[in-house]
Amino acid sequence: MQFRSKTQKIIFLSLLAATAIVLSYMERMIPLPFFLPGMKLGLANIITLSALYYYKFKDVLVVVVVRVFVTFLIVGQTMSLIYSLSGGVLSLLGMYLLVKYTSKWVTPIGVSIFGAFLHNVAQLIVLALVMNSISISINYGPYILLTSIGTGIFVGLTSKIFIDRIFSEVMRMNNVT
Amino acid sequence: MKIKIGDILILLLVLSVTVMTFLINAERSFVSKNMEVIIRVNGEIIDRFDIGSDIKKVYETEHGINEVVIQSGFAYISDADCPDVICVNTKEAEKNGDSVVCLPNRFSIEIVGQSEVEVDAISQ
Repeated sequence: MQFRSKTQKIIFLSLLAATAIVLSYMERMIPLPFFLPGMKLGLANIITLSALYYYKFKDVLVVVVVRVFVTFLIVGQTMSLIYSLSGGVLSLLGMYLLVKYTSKWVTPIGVSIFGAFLHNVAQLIVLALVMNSISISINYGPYILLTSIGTGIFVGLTSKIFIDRIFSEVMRMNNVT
Repeated sequence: MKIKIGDILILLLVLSVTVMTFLINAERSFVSKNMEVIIRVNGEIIDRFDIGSDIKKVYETEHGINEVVIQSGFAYISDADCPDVICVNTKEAEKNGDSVVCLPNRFSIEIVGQSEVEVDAISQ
């Protein structure tokens, strides 16, 4: 989409980043039925995914990077910064290519599953690099990749509703589509 | 809500990669002779014990403190000073390839069976 002014662009992107920051902070409070280290729902991906359908790649990248850094400041673990940043950027790249070239055949659900998968793949690669041993990643990988299917479907469904009911409405009210 | 053909393809792709990683793991865990517990800090091996031994040892490194217990074929981290204590809550390692990792302290224990040790000896 085209922004009418630079101010409008900054405000829209800041709103998106703020929503994503709150989501990724809130998801720590949601209890999960079973626990794996590093496992999470990835609610912030709802924002990334929805934004990809309306904004340019560069703008969404800014939202993702701002979200990761501010969440790092709130949570305050240095390792989580490296994991979130690598996972966030790789999954953004993958999802962008899917949205741009295959949006006729793929709905947000498929894009979201792929994004969650890439997010975990990037984290497993970083884990192997940090621990200097690939066997831990291989051993732990299957379980975390399996969870990415579940969380991917959940986030995809939520994004679909978010795009249809909220995002498109906000765009229409502001005459920016 | 409609689901399109591409969604199914992506789901199948992700699912098949996941199943493949499970199969690789299953093959590794069949090896069960002469299993050793390997203790690493920052990727460097600092200690190794036989899985059958009975050991309780505290490791103090520059990154933090971890207490390792090896008992009746199980190995686990019983205490640590890291902020999230994920390593203490992880399931004990018992099979080949199992591991317990403490990321903040760069500390890990891993069980390695005969086959990998042989490869190491040959490649030296």
